[in-house]
Amino acid sequence: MPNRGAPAIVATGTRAARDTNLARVLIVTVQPDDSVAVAGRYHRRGDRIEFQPMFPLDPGRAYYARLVLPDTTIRARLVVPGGNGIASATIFRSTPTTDTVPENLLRMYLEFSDMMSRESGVAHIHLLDDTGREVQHAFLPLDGDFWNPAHTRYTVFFDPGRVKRGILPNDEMGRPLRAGRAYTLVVDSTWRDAHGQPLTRSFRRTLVATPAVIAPITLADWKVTAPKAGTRDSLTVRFPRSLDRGLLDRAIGVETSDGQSVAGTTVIGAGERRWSFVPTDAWAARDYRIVVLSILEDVAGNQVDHPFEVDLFEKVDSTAQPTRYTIPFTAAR
Amino acid sequence: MRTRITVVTAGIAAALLTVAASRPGTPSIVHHGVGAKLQSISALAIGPNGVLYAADPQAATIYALDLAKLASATPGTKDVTNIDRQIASVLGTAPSELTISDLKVEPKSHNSFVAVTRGQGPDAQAVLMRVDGAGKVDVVSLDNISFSSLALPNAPDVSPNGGGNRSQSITNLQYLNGRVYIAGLSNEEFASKLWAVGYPFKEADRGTSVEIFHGSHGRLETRSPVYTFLPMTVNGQQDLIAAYLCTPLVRFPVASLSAGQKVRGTTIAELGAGNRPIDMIKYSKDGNEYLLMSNTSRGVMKIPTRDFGTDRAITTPIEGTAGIGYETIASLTGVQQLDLLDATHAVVVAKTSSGMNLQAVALP
Repeated sequence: MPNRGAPAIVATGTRAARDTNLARVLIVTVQPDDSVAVAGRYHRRGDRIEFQPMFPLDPGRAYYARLVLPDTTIRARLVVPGGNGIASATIFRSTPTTDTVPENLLRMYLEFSDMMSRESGVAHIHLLDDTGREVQHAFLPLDGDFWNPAHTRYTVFFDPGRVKRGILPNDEMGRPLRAGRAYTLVVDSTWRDAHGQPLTRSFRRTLVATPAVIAPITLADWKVTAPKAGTRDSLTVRFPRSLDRGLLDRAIGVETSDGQSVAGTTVIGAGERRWSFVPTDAWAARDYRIVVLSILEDVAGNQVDHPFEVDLFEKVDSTAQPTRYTIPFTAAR
Repeated sequence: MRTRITVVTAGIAAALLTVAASRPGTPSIVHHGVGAKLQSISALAIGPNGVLYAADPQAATIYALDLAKLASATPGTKDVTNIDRQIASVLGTAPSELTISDLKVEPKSHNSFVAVTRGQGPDAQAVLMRVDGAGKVDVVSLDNISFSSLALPNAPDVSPNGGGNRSQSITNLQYLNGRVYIAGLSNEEFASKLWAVGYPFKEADRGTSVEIFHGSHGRLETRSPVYTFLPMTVNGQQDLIAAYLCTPLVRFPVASLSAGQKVRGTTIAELGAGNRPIDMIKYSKDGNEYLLMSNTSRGVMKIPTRDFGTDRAITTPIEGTAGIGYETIASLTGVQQLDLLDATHAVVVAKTSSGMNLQAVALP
């Protein structure tokens, strides 16, 4: 176990201890006089007994040590330095960034200024209707896994069983959002960051629900503004509706007409209705293509040529790779 | 010399585990070695010959840990009151810092293996623990344990931003006849994904990504992820029974899970809304076979399997629940973990007002 060099608990002046099983001589616990000892390794050097815990002791937490000698037991309360953090994390963005969302909104992302703890957000997130009442069962009862790897972005999944028409939860309860009504998404400040501190403040934003978007993404509806050759001007694509921010970051790219990937940076704007790409090197006077993976979705889960509401029966995917759609463009002089 | 007890920081703190998911971009996808270092731990499965499979979702990797040489403990699993506090005490932290992701009983020793994450922050550590027949709760050191590991395929991306924000949770693992079945759910795509990979892991086999569709109300549901599943023989055919989010129970033949084949599952029950299935076991009692399924908000369901083979697919709109009937076991509440202990008992970890208890319960 990886803990060399981490704080150890050391008892000195222990010459009187006769028991060679050091786990019976120096007992470290989380609660006073707990019967279960913290796991770790012991070393004896002269009159020193050293306890190296298997996992680093938590900064700021009190531990209790008992040194059992033949004629006495010495007790100590020990606190590992540190752990006096102050709340600093906030939610700086939630997407979609638009004020209005379709009533069949499938997911949102909450972006935090600092790394958050691994706990699930479900208990901290509430959807209130325009009378201030909480909408029950709006979100999937998922566990704590819906973070990005850096633990700075959390995915809020609306219960798709309620979003999608004609399946049982939708029949029972309808959609969580209803077109024409306003809602408030509330995130409690009790959500802990990676250092165990709460958010500096709670987060609220208003969502006005509009009619459901049930049509698939149609690439023919996208407006592509091609750049000029010899420049590093942006290639810009405008979408008629907001697309999912997480998938926009991953499912659109640029390559040459012979399939070479083009390096560059992307910017997403205008309520997730615009995607811009600035190449690392100037555009050549040639044909390129925009590559769109079939996993791309709008905020309601509609994919390219594949609406969320209508399911297709497709083959098993032996490569785990989605379909690639392409939109050709030319960088002209 | 005066006797005293102090905290001593010797040198620098141990290197923290990297938090960023390693995108397995190296050519080698299978590794063999001793002393697996898991970045994270979620689902567990037990295979034959003392192999325990553990999912490391942070690294998008499945580990096969050879526990055959693990020092034996008292056979069985004894009840442990406040298992969360006991685990926290052993790991030197508070119960609020723990996540217990899975529990599986090893069928020979009947010891319980528990997947635990210690800590909520960037330095959180994956820990495998064991509860034995004396109620001893200890850490399974992987230092001397042989392992092999398999990296799951990269997430699809074509953007220069790549998949930097994408993560993959692994919700369930099962071993069946030389293959490991892996159910997962990503934080970006909401889709039904199941991988099947051969074991022993081979470089050439990155597994088959399976999309299982099930008919429901005349529609074909393609998106809802599998949350828990188990193998079962129905009408002499090897099937997987899968419970999906919100909460259809679906049966599909294992033989169909090969590349290029269409896989259509049959919805045999709809178990209600606002719910996530947690664990499923099957058992026999009084000559009948049952599933026992724990859920986040609909308690523990006992489901007779005798009609699973009659293909009563649900194809018409229904209200409430439908298809195969079930009985809610009122005596089992707050069940977070469930596995079969022996022919007559299950092990559960159940949340109570005073903490979490691990206990053996008679199969209902």
